[in-house]
Amino acid sequence: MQARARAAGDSQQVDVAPDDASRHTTPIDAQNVDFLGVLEAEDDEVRRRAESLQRRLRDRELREELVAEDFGGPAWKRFAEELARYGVAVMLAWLRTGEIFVQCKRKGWPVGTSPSTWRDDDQIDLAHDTVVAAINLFKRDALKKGGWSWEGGASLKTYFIGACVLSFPSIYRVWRNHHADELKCSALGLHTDLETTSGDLLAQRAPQPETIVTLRHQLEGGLDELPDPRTRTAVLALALGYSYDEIAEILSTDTEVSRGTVAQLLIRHRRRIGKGTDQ
Amino acid sequence: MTDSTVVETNRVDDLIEGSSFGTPGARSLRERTSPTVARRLANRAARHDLTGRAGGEISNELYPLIEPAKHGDRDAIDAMFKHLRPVFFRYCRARLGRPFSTPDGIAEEVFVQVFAALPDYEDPPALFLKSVYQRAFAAVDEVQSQALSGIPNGPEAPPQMTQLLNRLSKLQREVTVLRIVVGLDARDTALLLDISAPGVRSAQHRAITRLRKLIEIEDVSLPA
Repeated sequence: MQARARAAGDSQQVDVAPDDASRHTTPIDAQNVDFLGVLEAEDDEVRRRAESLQRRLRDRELREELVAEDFGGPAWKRFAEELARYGVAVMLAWLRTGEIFVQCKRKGWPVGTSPSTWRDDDQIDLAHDTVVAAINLFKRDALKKGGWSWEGGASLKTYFIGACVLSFPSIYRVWRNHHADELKCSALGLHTDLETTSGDLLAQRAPQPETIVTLRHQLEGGLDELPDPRTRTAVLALALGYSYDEIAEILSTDTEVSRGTVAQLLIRHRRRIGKGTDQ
Repeated sequence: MTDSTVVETNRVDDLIEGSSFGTPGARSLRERTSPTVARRLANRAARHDLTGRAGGEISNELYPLIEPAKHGDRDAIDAMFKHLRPVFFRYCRARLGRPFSTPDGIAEEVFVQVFAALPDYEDPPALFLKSVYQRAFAAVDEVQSQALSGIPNGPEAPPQMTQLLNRLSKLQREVTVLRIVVGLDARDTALLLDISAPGVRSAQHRAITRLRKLIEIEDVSLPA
């Protein structure tokens, strides 16, 4: 079934059809779209795009709510907490898999590669500092100054994660300068002090540092043979216990990655190494 | 929590769940971070915002430009220069007075140093404006000390207003120049001088009171 929506008045029209223009080119009236109808569409791609558009429209409503109280009321307070929850989870996944270094390099702001051994508490501190900086950057640029607009195609979530990537290099450099000696010792195998995490931090369901180190060793050979950083991150994230839906989020930066894409990446990887899938 | 606050919070929760932060994957990731940690971080972000330790208007404009500019992004470098130029031309002119060729030349020299060192800049972005200010401050001080030592071809004696500024304490003088002549907000001024924003306002008040007294005592002729 081809997704259709009727244009109404002079409201904005958005094409939610796949990039292949020959298949679905009917523009959707973003203000009056029949989302139920579109969501029932058999074409996964059209359904995914319609859902993405619907969520961007709700992003706009959310922003309007925050603007109405001038970012000083309970709505912003509540939203800032959810930004922190989401941002910390993504940053920790990116730090544990090394994806953050790939992201910084892709943006043209390289900060080297992931230290071979570092403590889980270090990663948590970096994730926290980055998210604090990103929340304020996001509030100022995306929300107050209008840097984000739903018509632009990116969601609020994508813009926020962009603010995290932008905030990371300077925070990491300062951290790296302060820990230069420790990192050298770790690299030489002279430092084995893996501190235990506090109750609050355990609530973030952090894998134990030993787990990550062991995992890296186990995967070391195989990871080097992976064709692209995206598959590498997906494989590591899966091994660290993230679900397919979560891995799709972790891989969604400039563009959204679907659960299906993650499944395909992992199936291809398993075929390459000669194993079946189990999820 | 009042009934209206509960209704408001529920409405925001509904909006968040319907937004791009409400996808199954995003919701699942959010649940990995404890609400206590999230609340603490949101409060930290709010404190940074309120105290201005993360900077005022100019610092905030510079913040997102620094990383791209460090890596040679021409647009980012141009935008940084656009923000920095008026600040430091005004600063050097206020500290050294006419003829403006000397202060303008010093400001330009500072910019050359700053942009040449930009690829190696490793401090937090919020402190970038401060690093430029420190260079400008040092360069102006050097020129003034040359003038005081009577070095040939040194700058001419500064005009009356600049002389008056030089009779304030160092903190009062810098606050007056940065706030009134340069036009920085209290947050940026606080960041540059390593004091709090209320401290800036109090120093500014004392400086103006002192200037008023000096003008009365010295019978300074004010411009028409």
